[in-house]
Amino acid sequence: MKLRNLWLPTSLVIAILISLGLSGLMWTNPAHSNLSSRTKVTKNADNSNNTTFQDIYLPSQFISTSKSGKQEQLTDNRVNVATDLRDRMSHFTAQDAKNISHGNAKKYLNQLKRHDTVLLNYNSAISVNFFRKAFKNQLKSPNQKFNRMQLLLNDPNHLYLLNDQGYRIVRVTLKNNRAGKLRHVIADRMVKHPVSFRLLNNKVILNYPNSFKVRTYSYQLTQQTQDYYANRIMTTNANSNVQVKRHKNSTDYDDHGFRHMNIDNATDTVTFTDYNSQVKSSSFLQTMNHVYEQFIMVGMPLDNIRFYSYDPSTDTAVFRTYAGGLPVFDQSNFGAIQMRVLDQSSYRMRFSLDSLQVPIPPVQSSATVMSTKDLLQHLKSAGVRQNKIQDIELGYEWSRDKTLSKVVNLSPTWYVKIGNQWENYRKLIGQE
Amino acid sequence: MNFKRIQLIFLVIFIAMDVLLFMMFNHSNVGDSTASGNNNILEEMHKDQITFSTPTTQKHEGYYFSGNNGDTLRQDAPKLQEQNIRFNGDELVSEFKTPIKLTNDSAKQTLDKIITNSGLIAEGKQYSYSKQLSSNSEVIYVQHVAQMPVYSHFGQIRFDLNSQHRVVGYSQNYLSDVKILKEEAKTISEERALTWLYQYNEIPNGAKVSWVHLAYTRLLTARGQYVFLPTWVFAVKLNNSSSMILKRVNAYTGEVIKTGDNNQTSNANSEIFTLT
Repeated sequence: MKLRNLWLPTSLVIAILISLGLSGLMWTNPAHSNLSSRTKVTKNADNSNNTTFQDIYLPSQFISTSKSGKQEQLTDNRVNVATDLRDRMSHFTAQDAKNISHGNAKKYLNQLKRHDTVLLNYNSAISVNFFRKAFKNQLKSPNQKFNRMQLLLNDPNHLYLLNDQGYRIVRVTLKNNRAGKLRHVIADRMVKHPVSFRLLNNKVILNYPNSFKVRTYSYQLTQQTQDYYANRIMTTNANSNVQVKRHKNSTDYDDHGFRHMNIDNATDTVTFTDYNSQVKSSSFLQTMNHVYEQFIMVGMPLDNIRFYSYDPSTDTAVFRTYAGGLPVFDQSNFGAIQMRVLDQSSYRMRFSLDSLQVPIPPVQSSATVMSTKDLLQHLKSAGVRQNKIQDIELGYEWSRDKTLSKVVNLSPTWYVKIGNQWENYRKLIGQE
Repeated sequence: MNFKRIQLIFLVIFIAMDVLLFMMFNHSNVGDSTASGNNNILEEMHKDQITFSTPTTQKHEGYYFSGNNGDTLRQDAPKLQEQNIRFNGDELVSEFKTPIKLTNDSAKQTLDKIITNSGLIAEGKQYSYSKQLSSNSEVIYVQHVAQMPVYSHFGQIRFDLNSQHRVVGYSQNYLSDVKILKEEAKTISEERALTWLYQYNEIPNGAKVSWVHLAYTRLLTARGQYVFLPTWVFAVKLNNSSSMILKRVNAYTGEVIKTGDNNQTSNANSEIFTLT
């Protein structure tokens, strides 16, 4: 009798609770709401882009050290070193991280020279959480910064996380790691340049002991139109009308609200400022994730574009075009894309309208690059003080072909960082 | 017992609301996933009465490469026997002294033997039989580069058949000096290419997609070299015609590549077939 009286109120309460729960779920999860236009934009853009988060955040440099201690930089020939290594890297789980050394430059250099290893290098320090997403690996160690990961080919149970900043060495113990496949990658068809590590003004740089040949590339220049970006990123809010102001050398777009875009016709670069973008920049991973999402939203072609560096003091990330595993300089004065987080709700992005998608046969298949020693000698005799040199890197120079229109030639050369700016060495020694 | 009735009415209303909310929740879940997005497009294509076999979702790998029709064939020509040879530009045109008889079922086997004989065909080992490109009057062998067929008249052997189904001769182009321009890169899947082709309105209602191949085709010519890239080649048969149209989709970007005047009615993608 009692039960029969109770079933109605109980089921009513259950029904009310279910409806509350369901509506709660729909309100809190923005992906399920039709009102959220931001997620929609991202979703649509996804269709036109083949480049994933994992592709754009690949390490920028790979060094292998043989059993006898011979060190070589790996660059692309028939295979893409970066994606190949990533795809064949075994999925491991890692716990237990142990600090080995800190502040000892000599010990650090010795660690870099460890035999039978592969080094995955980033130009700037990345976080463990970021690595976990970029490599889809379970690296469960305290979240710390590192810019090199050293994989041991003869010891699958450990790896090292290295940070040039403070010469920090951390040893991580691994589970379920198989290094066999990596050995295959190293043995594979790729171009190898002999290198060694050395210190220059307390900065770890790669030393190329001999002059060597590097492949040249030519690309057909793909230029995105101004209208494409104007339509795509400036007309998101149906209510606003975009004000367009044409100047002599540039065009301004303003939506009277949150977005502003300026296109410089002389350099073919876009400066886009968004004042209404929630940046959850509490961690490196979140910042980089946000940056990637904005690229997808803007819809620039991301072929051959990869993460180059991140400067935490100015909250600026730089992305460059990569060819054959080496970065391209001189595309513009900032790289391919520069993304600067201004504050919690806004960012400024600069990018080039030019991109490289279709390779064509180069005039010459390779060019010779001088050794690091010769380079330093040249710089010295040109009056460049060695203690001013912040960094040295091998890269490609972007130059337009003189006879073919819309063709870009990439030739290998030295880039020297002086006063926080990358310069072609020829400019520094007064050849240009 | 009025209160009981009110409770009952409320219960019915809330159950109805639960069902409604659940449906909305589920619906928005489905709309989010990109995989099902492709499936929706495939369903749409079925509704437009387009016939096709279920596309694969596997990604492949390929290169950009360049090559030319250099003088390899001219160098090999003196070794060739039992035929009269002339050159039409870089193309080798040959007439067999005695036509070769083919039976219907063993055409491929007979020609496979001929093509691997370096006294009869130059560089023949680089080519393989293509059933889809061949017709009643012509048997086509396509050159292979980096384990993938090249669908281009710059790398083909075309055997001419007469009305008695005998091979009277052939014409040949050979891609030499092949250079990889860029490291290997992943292509899009067949499913992606098919849905894009449809979304670009390249497949009319009621059409039939007869076959789909991943093959190298020419994109452009630069500095005297032909530049090839991996493409998804679709053979589309229109509703009320027997002819086939070949469509190309850039297997890296998904763009539809158009060549010259795209004549909708002829059996033409001049990049793949030579039209005479």
